[in-house]
Amino acid sequence: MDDKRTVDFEINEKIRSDAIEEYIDKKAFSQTESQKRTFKKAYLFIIIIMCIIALTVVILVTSIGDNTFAIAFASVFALSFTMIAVIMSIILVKFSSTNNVKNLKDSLRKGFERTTYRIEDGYLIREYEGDKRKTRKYDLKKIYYPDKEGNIGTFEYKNETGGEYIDFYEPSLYETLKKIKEESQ
Amino acid sequence: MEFIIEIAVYLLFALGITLIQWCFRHKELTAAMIIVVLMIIDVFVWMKLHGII
Repeated sequence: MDDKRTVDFEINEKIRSDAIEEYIDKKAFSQTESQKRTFKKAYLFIIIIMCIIALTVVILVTSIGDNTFAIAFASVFALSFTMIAVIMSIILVKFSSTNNVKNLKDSLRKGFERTTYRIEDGYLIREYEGDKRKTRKYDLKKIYYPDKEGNIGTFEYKNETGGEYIDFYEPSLYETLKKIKEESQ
Repeated sequence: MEFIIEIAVYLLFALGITLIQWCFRHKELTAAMIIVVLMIIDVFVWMKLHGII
């Protein structure tokens, strides 16, 4: 903890809670956008298949008799069929993305609530309630905060193999880092 | 029967206009383009029914 970057722990409480919300918003937005793109591709595929079915019906009906009525009937059928497919796909994309944003934000918040941090034998231990595999140990001497770029929501962890940046928007970690500062003084 | 088909053609055109308005409001340009194409086909059907083409 000899790096001078570890000295500055004075974070405004409002800025911190805003950072959590900003993080949730950003993550939820990027994830739902990629899901939306996948959904759009899938629905476009459905529209194409429905168009092919409609076209087959048109060909079948028009081949029965060469009259205006048969052509018009088949075309109207095909048009209605495709129009319904378009409406359905729009509704599905809208509904799925709206629900996803809400669910994703909820699960992210739950993740923050379930993560706890404690200091033990010179290590900062991160535990995730209900999943022991997610437990991580960070050597306190190797933690630098804020990170090189001065991001308040990230700490830098340097080890033998290099290093990593860890997001710590979880309020409990903020409290823990505050405690480290107090103990080190 | 042809009368019913003609009404269906008009209804589809009206539905297309409503959908395009909705698509522009919600920035769904891909869907808007598909609907425009469908409306053009609808006009062709109307022309076919009236013996224009």
